[in-house]
Amino acid sequence: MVEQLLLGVNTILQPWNFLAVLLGVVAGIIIGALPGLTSPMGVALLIPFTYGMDRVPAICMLVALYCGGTYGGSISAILVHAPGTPAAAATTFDGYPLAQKGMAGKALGMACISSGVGGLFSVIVLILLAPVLADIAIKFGPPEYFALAVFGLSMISSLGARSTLKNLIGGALGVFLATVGTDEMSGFTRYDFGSTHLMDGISFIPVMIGLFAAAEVFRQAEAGIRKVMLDKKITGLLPSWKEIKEVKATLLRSSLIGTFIGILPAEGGTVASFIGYNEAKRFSKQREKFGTGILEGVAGPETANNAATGGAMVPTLALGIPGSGTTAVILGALLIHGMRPGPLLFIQHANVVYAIFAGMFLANLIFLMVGLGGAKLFSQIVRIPNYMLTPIILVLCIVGSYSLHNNMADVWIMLISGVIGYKMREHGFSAAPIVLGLVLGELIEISLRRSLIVFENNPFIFFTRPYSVLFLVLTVLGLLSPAIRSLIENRGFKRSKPIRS
Amino acid sequence: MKNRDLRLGLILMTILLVLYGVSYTFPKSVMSETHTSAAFFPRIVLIVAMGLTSILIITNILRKDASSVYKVLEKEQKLRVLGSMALALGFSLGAVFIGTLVSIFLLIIAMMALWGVRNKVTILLVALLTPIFVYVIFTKILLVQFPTGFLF
Repeated sequence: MVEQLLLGVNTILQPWNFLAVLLGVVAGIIIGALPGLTSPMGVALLIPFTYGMDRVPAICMLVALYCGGTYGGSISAILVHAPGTPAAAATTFDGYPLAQKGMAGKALGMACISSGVGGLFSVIVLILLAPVLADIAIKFGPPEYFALAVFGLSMISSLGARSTLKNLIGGALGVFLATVGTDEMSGFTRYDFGSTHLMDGISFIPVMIGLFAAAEVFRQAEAGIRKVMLDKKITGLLPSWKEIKEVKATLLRSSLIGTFIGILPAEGGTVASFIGYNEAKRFSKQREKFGTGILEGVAGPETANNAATGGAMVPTLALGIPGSGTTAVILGALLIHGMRPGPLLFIQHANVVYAIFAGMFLANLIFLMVGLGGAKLFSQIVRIPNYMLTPIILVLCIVGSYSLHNNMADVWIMLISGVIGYKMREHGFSAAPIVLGLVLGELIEISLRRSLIVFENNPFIFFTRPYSVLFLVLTVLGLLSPAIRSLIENRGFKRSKPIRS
Repeated sequence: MKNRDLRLGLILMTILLVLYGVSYTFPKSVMSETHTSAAFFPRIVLIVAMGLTSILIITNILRKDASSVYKVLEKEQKLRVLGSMALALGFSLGAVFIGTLVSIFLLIIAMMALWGVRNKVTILLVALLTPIFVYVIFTKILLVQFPTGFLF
């Protein structure tokens, strides 16, 4: 493993790969800093730019955007009280009051340092854990894969929108969309309605661009012109050594929390950041000062949400089950570049996997430097008015979708997905479960049908194999978790308000 | 209609039923005795989706108050949203006839005007720089062949 990792480091330090990571980080910080533009949207929009690139720089650029975007969300959270990404919502609690006290620079510095610490910690866990998990998963047969994919899908109940039922409906619709096109086992086409474009199935990328980016364009159109006034002067970016020492326990705790939450399929940085904030408050000696502007209140959520990035990559790479909405899009990008995430990825494309590990580590180091060095510059990004950005994003949605296969059919799919995504959001649905269903649908179908063929149509096979039973039990627990959570909240055991984005 | 969730549930249920019906038009495999057919999995998914949608419908019928709070868009907001959708649609159709880069230029101008931007310099700057960016990155570097139409 060490040899492969060193090889990965060597690969990522090649000038073009390094440049790809740097560009990804900078693009991520910019996208993250702009309220309304999220990491999944950024990754979906960036995928078309990677079509002509080699695998390593392409995937590393997307992963770097994910890391940079998660940190970037804190900039507008601190400066204008509008989280750039949902994962930065908890940062507003203490970040903005700090800015109002004239300590915006220190808050931005702490956000950057804690994001870097959380991100680096989670990458180390990713490097150590993902190959082990892949080694276990290599022994899985179709029944285990089916149960695992169903478990991954069951976690959508906690993704995105507030309603568990709507998340599950969204997930089911996503799985259904994955069945469109030629059936791999019988060779017959399904739901193509005579269209040759649909015979190959619905491409992930136009759907993702439509649901995440075009839908956001229409939502921004609804909101109208938004200008941000920035009157805070940013000085003194680096927190003192004493201030960093004061939050070291929070950094460690939130790193552990964020990484663990990230590893859970479909749980993401948003949940991690709120739990990170709550736990920082619970263990703090200055609990009463939380919410009034305290550096610990910035360090808690920022460490946790960036720690979730490495954690979320663990199930994505080792099992092929996305750990968050953004990793679902990254999973789609891996497929576009001819790599199927899962245990075989570590055998067939070990060089790419270890380069991704090294790239992610590098991305965290880069945004630590770029974030601290360029905080004043990045803070100006929040001033960019949405009426300039939104038409450009719509253009990128269209040309990006077209670029996939050089045909207009993908543009139509993107536009339809965008309108559906906008309308569904209006009705309280979230895009992430649909995307998760779409990327997992094929795996669920193939593993279910292979299981039935291999085990002579015996449906009880899923209940006789240990790992399969384990995943199915976890599925039931996952589906019941919102009800259990709500029961606990109603009984007053919950310490703070329910946390969802 | 009691509320919009109920209406959505009914529309969704109708679509799911139609799709379920369509699955009976799929050809059957000659190996269907030992292999599951092409319709097997979509039907399972559709049944699950219909079950979940039924819950959505029933819970909304049983709900005493129509308390689902939805934003009611003002006329101006609706105009901007529908206008943006129409412009995207127009762009996709127009690109084939008048060319992608010209369509991008026109789309940006129309969209910014729709949003009520009055600064002509800003509009022109964004409208000119975006197609140049698309041309350099997508056409020259990524070698994407966009429809050129009769203009460009």
